[in-house]
Amino acid sequence: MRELPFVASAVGIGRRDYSSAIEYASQPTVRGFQGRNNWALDADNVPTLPFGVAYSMAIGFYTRDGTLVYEAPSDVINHIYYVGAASGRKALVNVGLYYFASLADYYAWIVEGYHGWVSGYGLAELRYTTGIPTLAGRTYAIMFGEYSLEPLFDIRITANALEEEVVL
Amino acid sequence: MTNKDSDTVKLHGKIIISTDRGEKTEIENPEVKRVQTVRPERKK
Repeated sequence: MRELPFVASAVGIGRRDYSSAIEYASQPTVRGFQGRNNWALDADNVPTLPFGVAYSMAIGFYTRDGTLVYEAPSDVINHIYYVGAASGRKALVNVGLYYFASLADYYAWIVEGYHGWVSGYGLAELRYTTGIPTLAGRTYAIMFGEYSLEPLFDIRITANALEEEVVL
Repeated sequence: MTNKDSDTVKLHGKIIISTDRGEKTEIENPEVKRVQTVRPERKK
């Protein structure tokens, strides 16, 4: 954009008023796609676990060319903003989002850290306002469980992320 | 924690992983891990 010269004329005394002639224009630059990645787990008749034990599900990501991988890709960042677990009844439900340095660490259960672990009755949700950006190479897993005296439970898990293409 | 604290369980259900770009993967009767939920020790 060509800059236009402007002159702030002197009126009265004091600092000149530069605000009157300022024009500002911006144009968005398209750098890559932004879409959504959705995970859904529907499972019925899951054996109830004792408190302190949970199920863990590694979540898959798509690379730019559409390959499903279980270590976060370097060409697409997923900003995970929602993880929710719902069971069909008013019982204690837990859900958590954990991460591992690699898929091998996930299989060996060497936890690197976690982004949240929350409890609820019938529904437990993790919400991240701006999203948790995935780091290339890490494996992310959702942990969940329902705790009651019933031997089995049904579970519905939903998780969403915004996908951002990395411009190389 | 080590792998002694976890094992795998086959669930009755499915996982769907889908994107706005059109990718969709359905995994029937997925395997999940059964693990301890004690506060994890950070990897040294």
